Amino acid sequence: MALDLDRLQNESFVAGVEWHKTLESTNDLAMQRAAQESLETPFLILADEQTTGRGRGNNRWWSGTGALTFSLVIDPQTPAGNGNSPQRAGGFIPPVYWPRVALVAGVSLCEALEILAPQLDYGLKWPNDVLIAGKKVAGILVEIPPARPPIPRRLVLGMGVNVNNSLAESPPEIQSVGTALCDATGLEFDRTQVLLAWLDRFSANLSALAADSPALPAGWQSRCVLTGQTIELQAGDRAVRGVCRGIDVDGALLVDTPTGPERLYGGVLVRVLA
Amino acid sequence: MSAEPKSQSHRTTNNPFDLDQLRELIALMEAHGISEIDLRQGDQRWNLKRGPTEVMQVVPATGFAATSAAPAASVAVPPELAPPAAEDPNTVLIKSPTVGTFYDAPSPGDPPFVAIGTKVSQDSVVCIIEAMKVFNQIAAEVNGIVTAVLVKSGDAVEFGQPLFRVKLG
Repeated sequence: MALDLDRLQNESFVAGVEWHKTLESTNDLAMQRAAQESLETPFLILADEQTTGRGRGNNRWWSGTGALTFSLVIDPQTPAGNGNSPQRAGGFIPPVYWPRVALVAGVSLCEALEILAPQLDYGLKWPNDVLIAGKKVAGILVEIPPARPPIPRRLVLGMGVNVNNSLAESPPEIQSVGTALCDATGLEFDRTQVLLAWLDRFSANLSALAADSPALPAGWQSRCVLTGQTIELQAGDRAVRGVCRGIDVDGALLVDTPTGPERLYGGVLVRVLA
Repeated sequence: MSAEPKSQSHRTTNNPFDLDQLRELIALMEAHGISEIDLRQGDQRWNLKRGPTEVMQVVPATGFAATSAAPAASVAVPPELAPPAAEDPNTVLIKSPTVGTFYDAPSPGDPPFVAIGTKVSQDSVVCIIEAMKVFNQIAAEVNGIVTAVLVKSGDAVEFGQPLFRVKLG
């Protein structure tokens, strides 16, 4: 089913929508758009197929027919935008809160999917993956282009969600770690509806972030799948091993290590040991 | 300029340290996580420190006199090893606006955004600081030339930590 661009523009807080059949990366194009002073935000860029989806290193997002792949440009310091529901996204988001935006987007997706397919078990794998029953269904990546006065600093949020792109035919090593909404439910979903549900939750949660609402940290804390697990992360040159104590209010991953508690703002999860 | 310049040199026939040795020492410090080395030989003293700002100093001991016995080119102290120049009004530090991980290039394997000697302008992206998969492109916000890179790619950095030294101009 094709995406309904009119609905996306009329029934969400986005001010503009741009669709492409194929793009190398929606984030790359969104970074270009973000450099245009005249851009009305929030601005949504969609691609039915993404050939070189972003991700650091080898963490490329896979994208097949039926996936939902998009990037959203927002002005975090004037996020009301020009959409039809500006009251849902009001508020100034201080730069110190910006590193939490990927987590906010993940919580928002969980909340949206919990409405659309409530029978499933959703979780967050810190900092940017959304899981269904332990398997990755979506990935998130946020880029912040530099300040180019008079253009305000903007955030470019890219997301890939496996909706109707079944992984049933993919190699076993992919199926063991990934899933799609259609695989988990046996149903096909309207991607427009999925995106509208996410936009609704995300705009509300941006307001919550601006207001420093305690409901947001509660949302990522309760969905953190690593809590209580013994994990190993690579943080720069350091290997960090310990028991995960969840995600703190500022988004840091809390790990109890033999040498004391650690708060991590970066790093790659190498493995879950127990 | 003569073919064999009689420039003054830190290198003497008795001097066991040279630039290659200095590089080796730095590599050893990085490889083993050593934060400080203090070497003394005769009237020469080398004190190398690496910490959050990776400031390294080469300190001649009192009484050190560079002799000109050797015809080799003078041992120039690489800019990244130069003493802190915070007192120089024409030099500024680019500091991290956030906690996170410092990346010197768009992706692993890509050439770095800037290196020592790179001319930067206000808009020039000098690095990325990543925190929780939010990749923050940091602009120089000044016009000048990069004279020191104070952290290495993959390092965890703190709010306000100096990342680069830039000579204004």
